Amino acid sequence: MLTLRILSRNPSAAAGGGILAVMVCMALLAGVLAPYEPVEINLSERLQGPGADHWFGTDEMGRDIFSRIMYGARISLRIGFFVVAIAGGLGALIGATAGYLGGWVDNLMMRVMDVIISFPSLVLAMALAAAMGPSLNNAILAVAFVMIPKFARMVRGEALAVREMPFVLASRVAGAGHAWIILRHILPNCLNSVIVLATLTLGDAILIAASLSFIGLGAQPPMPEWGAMISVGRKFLMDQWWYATFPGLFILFTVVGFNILGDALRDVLDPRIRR
Amino acid sequence: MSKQLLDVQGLSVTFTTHQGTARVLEKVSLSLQAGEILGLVGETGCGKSVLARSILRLIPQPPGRIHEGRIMFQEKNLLKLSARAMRSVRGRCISMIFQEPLSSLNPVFTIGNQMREMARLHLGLGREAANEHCAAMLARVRLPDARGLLRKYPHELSGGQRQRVMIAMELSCGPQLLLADEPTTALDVTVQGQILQIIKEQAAQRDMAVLLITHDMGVVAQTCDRVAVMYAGVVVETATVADLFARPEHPYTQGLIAAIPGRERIQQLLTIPGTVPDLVTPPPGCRYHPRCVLRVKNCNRIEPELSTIGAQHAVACHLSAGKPQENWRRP
Repeated sequence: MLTLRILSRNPSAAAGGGILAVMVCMALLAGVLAPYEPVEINLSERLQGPGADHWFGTDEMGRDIFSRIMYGARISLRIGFFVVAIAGGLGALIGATAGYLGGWVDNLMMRVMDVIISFPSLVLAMALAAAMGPSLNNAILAVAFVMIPKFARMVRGEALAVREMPFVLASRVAGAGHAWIILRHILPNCLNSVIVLATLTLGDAILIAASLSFIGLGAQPPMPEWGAMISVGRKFLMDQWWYATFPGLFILFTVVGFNILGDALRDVLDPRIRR
Repeated sequence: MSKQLLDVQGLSVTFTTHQGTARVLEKVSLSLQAGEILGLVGETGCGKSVLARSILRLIPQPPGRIHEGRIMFQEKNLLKLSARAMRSVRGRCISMIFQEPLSSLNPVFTIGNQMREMARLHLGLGREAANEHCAAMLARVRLPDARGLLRKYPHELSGGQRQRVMIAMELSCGPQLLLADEPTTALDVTVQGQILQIIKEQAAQRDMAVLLITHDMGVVAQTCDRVAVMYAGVVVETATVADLFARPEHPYTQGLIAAIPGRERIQQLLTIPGTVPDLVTPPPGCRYHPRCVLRVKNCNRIEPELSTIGAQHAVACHLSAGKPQENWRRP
């Protein structure tokens, strides 16, 4: 709770939090607030410019872009959440195990992580998504996979420090096994950093997932995914600028929102930078 | 003499370092009976903590290695137990408390959360029963408002309180042996007395043996029944407390006792000249001989054996072999 109070006093955190709050509200209330159905086709009103009826204009099928963006927020936030949950969970577990056990386990796990990290993350995610077949769920898995090493490396570093703490030895003296110590002592003490990294990663995850959708490997039409909307809107960019611009702006806001919130969180939670 | 609870025989432990293999414990033998408090004294780095950790088999391997010897606890050789069997010995039969009460508790969980963990792990108690049990344990180490304390986090407690919580926690499963590794070094003197008193009381009430590791002769005099003096990985003298202070036999013990700051020596602190030897290449013969003011010609060639010179009094020194010593004073 103290954390929240400090955060609310930090202007950039408040700005980031504010942007994200708007996004979350949009996602949750899309069903109530959106003026049109996201997949409602109205060919008589196709490619209309922004105006009173359609705030952000309409696309080539006459669907309202503002409504589609609102529903798209659901998809993007869901992607971000699942990617971070999967990557953060597995990565933290791998990192904690490697850092705590050390020796060949550490070596093996970290070399595997190095292999993953040595590919450009977007290229690897593309290859994986293409191999598994284009669908939103596969895109989420692919993005989560390339994010795992980030978490694993960071948590391993923390675990190396935590495992030397006397309470770990005290727990072993009390008869605890390795699994118990990793779950009860190592991971909870790394949680702060994981939260910070998760917030920072959310933005990246949304961006990469949108990129996959843009090249057709993620969300499939008629799903109102932001990246997919830009992909189609690209063809109309010269004459109907609004089609690709508004989804792009929302991706930008979301990613920036997560990044500045993550930075502010790090200032508050990370003991190494605490003043 | 009643049956031995713990009997360590000829225990040798080495650590591999970049400089070579350090012989950290060299044929250490000592024993403990139920209800007895044995003080283990010696300078920093003489292997006291390694001995305690070896008993629980918690020295990191590698670089550490238990070379030879046996650790008999309740007629079982702990060195031959499986990892799983060893885990059930830890905490249940043998417990240990550490020097740093400040960091021996996990900062992210409440006291109750951590104490219940032990009770549930070893005693199989349910949540409520575990709570009840922990509160009772805290009350026994004279911590008031045990129920409220269970909901607190470690940083809300003082050093003395934390050490008491540690003691309550380690005793909560009724161990027969408590290894206390300098439990009072990080605490101030008044709290130190209370903690020692609690350890002593609990040992008497539960007929529990305590191995009290310390470098403070004052603590030994206050608390222990018997003392073992270690120097550079070797036990050089064991005796009852009264005997040790009245008739210290080994020159090192005499030096230690002479170095206790006292009222009459307020002007000048006595020290033993020289430093602890390098354990990678320990001095030949008696490991203490380079610093010994009384050395004779055999000291640098023959390793003295620990030999009995009186009731419960044994010493490893060539000077004491056979002939009774005058009450020696430092020059």
